[in-house]
Amino acid sequence: MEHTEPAVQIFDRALLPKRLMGDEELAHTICTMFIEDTPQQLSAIEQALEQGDLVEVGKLAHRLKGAAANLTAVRVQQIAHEMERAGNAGHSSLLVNLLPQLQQAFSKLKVEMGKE
Amino acid sequence: MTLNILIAEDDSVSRHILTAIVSKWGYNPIAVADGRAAWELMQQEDPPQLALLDWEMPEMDGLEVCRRIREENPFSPPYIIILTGRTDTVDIVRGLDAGANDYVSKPFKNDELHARIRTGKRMVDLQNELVAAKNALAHAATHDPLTGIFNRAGILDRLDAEMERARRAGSRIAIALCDIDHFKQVNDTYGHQAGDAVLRCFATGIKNALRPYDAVGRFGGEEFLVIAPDCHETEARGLFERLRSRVEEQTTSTNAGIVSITVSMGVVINSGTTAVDFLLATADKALYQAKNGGRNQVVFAAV
Repeated sequence: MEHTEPAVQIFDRALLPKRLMGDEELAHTICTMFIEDTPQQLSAIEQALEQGDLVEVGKLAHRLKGAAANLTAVRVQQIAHEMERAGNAGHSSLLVNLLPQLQQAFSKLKVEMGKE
Repeated sequence: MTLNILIAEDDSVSRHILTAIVSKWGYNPIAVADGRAAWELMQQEDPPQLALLDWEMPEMDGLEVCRRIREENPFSPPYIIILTGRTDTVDIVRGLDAGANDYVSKPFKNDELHARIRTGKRMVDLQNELVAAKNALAHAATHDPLTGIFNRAGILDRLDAEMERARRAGSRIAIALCDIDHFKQVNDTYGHQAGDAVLRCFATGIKNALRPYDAVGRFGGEEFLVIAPDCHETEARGLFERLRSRVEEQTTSTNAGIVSITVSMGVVINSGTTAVDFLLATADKALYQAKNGGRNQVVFAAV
């Protein structure tokens, strides 16, 4: 079902420049920053999950959620939010399922952001 | 002056967006990545007066920063807006109870955040005006507008503090009631404007002749009180005799001509244990003796 979702659900490209008062260049810089930073955050989440530190997973997911929300990266934001809740609730099997979804959503987002 | 706004946000994307927006709105953003850095920045001199704090941050969260700032209770506290994804009433209440002034949920809408910052700036401006007015009032309440030195209330406050200090330190304190001789004649002969100039010149002259930790205040019309802490009798005799002769030698140029005056002084030395009223009455008696003895002299009360 995720294969058929419209692009806007992955990333609303018009919104960030609008928030930045039309500053396209800054929007681009911030998107690049997000794309460069996120893989580290994803591996940190993975590592914390392997170590069973679910509280840390929750915190990291919370931060990623905030970053994604700023870019209106809807899917990443949603999954990160679910992971934050699962982490805080100590729900490790759910987290194990959600992590690949998050990684996949980020890959799609990267592709979508790469399109000019 | 551009308002400095502290931005504390651990997510670098959000931090950059906030910094960019705040700067485009014409404020001066100062961004840090965790709560401890925010708290340290708020400890510095002249800290930002408005702060946007993310709730969830490593090292120290936004709420803890709020709590510490309120606990410290600075003279001019910052206006704090907490930013968070939490929207439950219980969280909002926790945030405000921790000492936040306002609360914006993330992802924030530009227009709303801007409006809330404007609200904050209004409060900061108002607070700055209040602080300035309070300082001006405190100064006016303790200082004499004509001479610029302490007024009666100001010098009596100082006397209380110095008596307390002398008591604790086991030291001696000398106080002198000084009265300009025949001041009424100065006013009658040269006019009130010249009289005012003489008072100003007298006050400045005494102030400049004192040690840095001494104090002088205008006690009434032409009467002044000098406080010299940590001062033994020998020292006090030297000090007040020097003041007396300085006044005698000094002249004041007024619009009605050059005026010379002399001063009489009643001095009492104490260890800070006597009631202030009694001490002042004793100094006043000594002053009376100085006047009776022919003026232009210093009389020490026998205590």
